[in-house]
Amino acid sequence: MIVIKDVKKAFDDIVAVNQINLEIQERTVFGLLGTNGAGKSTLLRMIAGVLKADSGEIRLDDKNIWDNPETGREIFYISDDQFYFPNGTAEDLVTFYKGYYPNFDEEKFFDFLERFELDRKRKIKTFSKGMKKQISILLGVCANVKYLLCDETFDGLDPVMRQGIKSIFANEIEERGLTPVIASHNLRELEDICDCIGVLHKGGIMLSKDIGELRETFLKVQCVLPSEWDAVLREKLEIMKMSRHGRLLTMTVRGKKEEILAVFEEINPIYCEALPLTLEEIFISEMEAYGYDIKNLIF
Amino acid sequence: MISRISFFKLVREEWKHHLVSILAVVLVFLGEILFFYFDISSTFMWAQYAQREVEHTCRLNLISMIPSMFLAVFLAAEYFSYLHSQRKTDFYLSLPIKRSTQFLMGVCVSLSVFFIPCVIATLVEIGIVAVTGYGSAAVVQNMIWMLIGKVIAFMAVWVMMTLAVVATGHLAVAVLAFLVGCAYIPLFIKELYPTFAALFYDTFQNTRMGEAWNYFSPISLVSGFANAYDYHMGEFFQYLIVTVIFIVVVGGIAWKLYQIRPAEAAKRAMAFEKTNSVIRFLVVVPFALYFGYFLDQMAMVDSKIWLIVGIVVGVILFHGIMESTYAFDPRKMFTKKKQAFAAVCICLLFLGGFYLTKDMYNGYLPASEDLKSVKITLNSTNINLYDQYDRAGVSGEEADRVLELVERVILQNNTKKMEDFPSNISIKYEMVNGKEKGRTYGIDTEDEVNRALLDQIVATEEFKKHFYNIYQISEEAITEISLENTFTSEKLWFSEEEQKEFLDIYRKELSKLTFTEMEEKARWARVCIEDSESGWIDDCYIYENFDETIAFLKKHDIEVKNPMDCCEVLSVELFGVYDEKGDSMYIIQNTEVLDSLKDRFILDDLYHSGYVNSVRNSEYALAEIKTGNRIENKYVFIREPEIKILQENMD
Repeated sequence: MIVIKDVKKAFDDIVAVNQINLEIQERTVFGLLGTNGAGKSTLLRMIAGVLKADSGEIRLDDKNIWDNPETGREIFYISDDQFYFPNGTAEDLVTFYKGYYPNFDEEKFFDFLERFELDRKRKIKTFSKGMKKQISILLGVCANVKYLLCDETFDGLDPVMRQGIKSIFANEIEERGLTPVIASHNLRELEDICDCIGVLHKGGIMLSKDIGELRETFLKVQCVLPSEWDAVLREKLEIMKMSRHGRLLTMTVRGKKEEILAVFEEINPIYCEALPLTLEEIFISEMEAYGYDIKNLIF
Repeated sequence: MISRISFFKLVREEWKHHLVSILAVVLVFLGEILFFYFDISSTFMWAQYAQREVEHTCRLNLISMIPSMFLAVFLAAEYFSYLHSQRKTDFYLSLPIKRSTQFLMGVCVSLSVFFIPCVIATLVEIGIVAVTGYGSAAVVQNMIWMLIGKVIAFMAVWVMMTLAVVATGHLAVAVLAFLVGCAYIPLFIKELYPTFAALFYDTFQNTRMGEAWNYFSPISLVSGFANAYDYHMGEFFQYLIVTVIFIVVVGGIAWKLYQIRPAEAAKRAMAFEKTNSVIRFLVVVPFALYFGYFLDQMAMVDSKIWLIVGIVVGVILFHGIMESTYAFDPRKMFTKKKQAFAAVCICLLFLGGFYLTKDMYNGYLPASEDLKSVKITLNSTNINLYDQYDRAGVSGEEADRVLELVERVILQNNTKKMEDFPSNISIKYEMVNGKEKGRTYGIDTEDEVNRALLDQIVATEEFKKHFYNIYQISEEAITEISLENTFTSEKLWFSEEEQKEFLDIYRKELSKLTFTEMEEKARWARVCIEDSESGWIDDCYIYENFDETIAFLKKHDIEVKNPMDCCEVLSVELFGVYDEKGDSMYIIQNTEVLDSLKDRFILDDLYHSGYVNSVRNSEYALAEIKTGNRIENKYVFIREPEIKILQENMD
């Protein structure tokens, strides 16, 4: 588990990461969401041991990452602008990384390359941006580390590749407990791949939740009810958002589906339907509850 | 964290990613082998000296180490340049090894990339010498020392460049920092005090050789041990040890800084921004002082106003350059004004120190009891020219006489400027407590008392011992004595007894030679003495009044006379002589007159070294002379009586 405690990092007068507290559980795909300049890359670089926090600490399996460089063996970091040796091929990279990650699974890597139709002898610099990202992710996966830090790595990957990577992640999580941490400024890039999401804004964590839990926590309900019921509903339910168009009432409610629907059964409206929420809607609701207009922050 | 085996695996892996460095090193050493071959081939032209020349070619020397130093700069910059790119920094620093190990990898990769081709090149060069048939133990020994020298030179420069790369965030700034770092102490700081002391103290004499200043730069250290290898093995080893210490210390600092270097420093000017102010002060203050000095020298006025103006402008300029460089933004030129003002104040305090102490410095006269000995130099003659022997200086009564003279000279210097005096005298006091102090005064040698004192001081064996090696050399070590003048050179074939007798007579007369005689008597021949070790030549002469020496030589069929005697003077062109009407005299071609006077003309050739460099009360002239079938021009001194005769017989 990665525990980030009161971490702060400033570059001159600019505070990039401010008093962040966060826990990244093992065997989950953790999404780090935030606008440009929110501090995602800085946070990942600190977890990777590239940057030193000005204050606070980052612990990996209870060891301070900065003071214990050996913890780096459990981390593979892919930056948003990954460096490749000028004339290096995928094979060269394997040789290079094998030196640093003794458990690197060469066979698996070449197998992946074939599956993703990437030529192992072709110079990396001749690959497209997306292909380079695939190679980086595959290298990270085959390094057999516990934590794979991907900075904007999934942005721009086509859906087929995303699905492929997603299934690789699922296998790796299942087989050996891989924990990918994926930073992105785009919620839609993360929603189908992440189990947990942390939202960063202006250097601070605004929210960190399990997506499944979030999905179970919120319910969107549409019903036909006269307006005099509004007060009753507000009293009985934790309504995050409510809008009315004539007699049609739409609301986002926090709580368990059964409990919410039980309330409506009691009232017995003419029409009532529970609708699924997109992750985007859940976040909007959740963030609005914190007083932020997330549309201005993320989308 | 990482096993030894895997460390070397990583080093080998790194080689693959530094092929440019490997290629550069291989090309340089190929070139070196080629030039070495040409050098060796050129020595065969003189078959009898070939063995000696080959051995000499293989000797450790600075020129041969220069390519290694350039390679060190290149390899350090090439290896650690990733620190100047955020992309590469992220890549390398996220690798799961300790930063200290990562730095050591840099050391191993750079050193191995350099060392292996260097050893191969050395072996090939030894092979070349062996094939030519001039291989010897001395050649192998020299080549091994050369190899050691190259590796040490490489490492000294490499650690310095690495420190510069680690401490900065941009390659251009790193190169600048490297250059400033190399030159800062042995050039700028070392010369700061002497430069300004000479500006403020009229009597300033730089007594400190300042060897220790050279210990702070890889270039001066390498140059130090390379030069010392030729003449002083003790000094060579001293420099070598200091260079190794330099490598360890600077390498250690670079290693430590590498570990604490913030990764975000890439693309900034400096990696450790907290030190920016200190570095700026260290650069701005001396540079501004030198800028002020430069303006002062250009202005050539007595007032020090240009010095101060220069310092203020220099501070603004260099402070601005530093700030603009730090920020990579020329708009920052005029920021941090308070610190610039503080730099001006420090510079002015530095100047104030000199200004307030100048009278004390110029008027310094040590107490006789504090004095161990005094060394005197006239007209800036370098007494260290042939410095195989310790120079004791004069002491006791002689020293008291010197102090008496100096006391008078100080008073006279108070009323006149140095340049108004015809001569100068440099005094180096060696104190009982081991310290040394030196002063240089303008001296009025026409003042009767001064001259009398000088004559007394100079006409002693103690004084002459202080100046001439001939008093100190072991007679057994002498391999050859010869006499030279402008036209001839004659070896003295003396038996041991005769040689001893000759030296005794010569030294006796030399000891009695007064300052006035030195100035007025003509030098007829130079005594060249060679010893078995260094083959040195002392600057001692046979003067026209050395009757006993001349008689002794004559007894052995060696005639010493004015060299002008053996030639025909065709014309004389006088400089700076005017007749009563104020017209300048030019050429005298009356051969009859010239022939009658020629044995009074004194050839200038014998005045290129020694205490005095001209003949007192004489004029400089250009004589057209004929020796055998050869006609040539020679400068001569012509004294007053002869000038008068020439004036009377002017064409």
